[in-house]
Amino acid sequence: MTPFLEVKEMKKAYGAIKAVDGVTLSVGPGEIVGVIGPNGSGKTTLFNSILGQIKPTSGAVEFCGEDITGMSPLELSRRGVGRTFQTLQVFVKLSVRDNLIAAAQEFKGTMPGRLFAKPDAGLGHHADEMIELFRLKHVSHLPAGSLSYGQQKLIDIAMAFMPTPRLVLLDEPCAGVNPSLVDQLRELLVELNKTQGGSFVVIEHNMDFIMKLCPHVICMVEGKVLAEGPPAQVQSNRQVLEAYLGN
Amino acid sequence: MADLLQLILSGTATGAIYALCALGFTLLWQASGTINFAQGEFVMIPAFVMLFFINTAGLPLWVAFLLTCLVAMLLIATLGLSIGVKQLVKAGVTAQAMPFESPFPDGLLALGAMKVSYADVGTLLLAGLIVVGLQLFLNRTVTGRAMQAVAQNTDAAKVLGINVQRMVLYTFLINAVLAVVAALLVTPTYLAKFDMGESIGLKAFYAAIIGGFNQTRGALLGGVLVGVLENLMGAYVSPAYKEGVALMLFLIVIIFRPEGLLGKTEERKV
Repeated sequence: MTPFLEVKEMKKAYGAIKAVDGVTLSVGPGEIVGVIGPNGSGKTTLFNSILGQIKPTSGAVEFCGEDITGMSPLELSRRGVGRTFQTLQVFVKLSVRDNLIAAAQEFKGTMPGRLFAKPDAGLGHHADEMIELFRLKHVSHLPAGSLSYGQQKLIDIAMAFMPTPRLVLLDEPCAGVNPSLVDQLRELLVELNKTQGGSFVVIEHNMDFIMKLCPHVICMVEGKVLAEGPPAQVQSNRQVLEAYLGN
Repeated sequence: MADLLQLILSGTATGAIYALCALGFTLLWQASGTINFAQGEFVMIPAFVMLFFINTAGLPLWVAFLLTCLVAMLLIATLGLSIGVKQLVKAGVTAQAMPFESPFPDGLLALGAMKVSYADVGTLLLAGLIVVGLQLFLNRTVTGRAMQAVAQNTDAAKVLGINVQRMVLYTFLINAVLAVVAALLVTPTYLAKFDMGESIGLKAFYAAIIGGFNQTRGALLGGVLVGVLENLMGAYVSPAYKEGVALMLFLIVIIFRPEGLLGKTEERKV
């Protein structure tokens, strides 16, 4: 399979600390890849380096054959690359529906047209579909900031998928989410993967979630890839168990 | 009673001008995290630009106003102008106060027992129109929503592909128009003078803090409150204390409600 996203020998150091130390990985079209590892293993730094939010010390990132190393989030977004963060990143004063519309408005129409366009920018129907899919219809008119953490997390994820991205990097989508929502979230991601056809890279500590969602898993420890392969194989890897449980 | 109402109405008109300036402070703060201490000069420059178009080019007031909006958008969308611009006008144009034609007719309008000037009524109407228009733009257009999104969460906006720099530029352009309108309304009373921005800029800054720096409606309330109380202080206590009203209110708010009357406490992560 031709790689869709290719990360080559990515390194990010803070002085003597090597947060990411020569990571190489590839993601195919429509593939869902899980990234696991103990806290401080460099997973989020890897995401930030891929997405141009921090400048890598060395290494390269290619997306669909194009070198995207160091590109700004805006440029990446225009190429169909989105992300979510560990912490909530919703627009708290806007309604749920307006959050979703704001998430995709830059991709609709021309700049002068958008200047005085209607608030839904022709995205209302798509926003309503996403609201339905994420089961947020009953709260769609409320300000996002007034909802529970779990609901805001769903909005956050729905926003990342609003522009129909080709690649989404999800950073701990289950963090702080009620266990009853975790299964719903996994089903949603599977559904979006089928309907939108994008590739996902998912950082997560919830092993059950990642093992069920991702056909390919990478385990990072101290900035390096310690093991990768099918979830069962990675889960039973002795070095991975030692990294999580200690010697 | 009629006197009191008259003073309140007239104070509200002055306050509306402060509010327009204060609105510029809060919009810029929300969009770019910038406090624009040149805000007063942003009002002074358009006054002189309009004077140029009226006196030198011989254009009617409304044409001068529209042209000044364009010039202000080009010139004002820069920070750090305060001292330089002030001295430039003083040295290169004039240090004298220049008279400025009012956009409203002279005379008084009788509202029952009250008599209010056409200028006050016109100021209130124009300022109200600008504020309503701005609110419609921010809440009813996709670009307005995007500007709000940037103000609420810049990081998320960037990742979602919203052009943050463009939204900040729009905020500066809106601020330029607010400044031109404020100049149009305030200069007939204050006269066009190189240091006219000091007092307006400072009062608008106080007004924005009094109302709540992170709320546009706070800026409106702060502006009107300062304008009305100044008028009441001048009439019932002493005109000598009038100029101190904004500072006094500012101090009270900072001590007892630092987030402002309508402001909301915001958490910041470090």
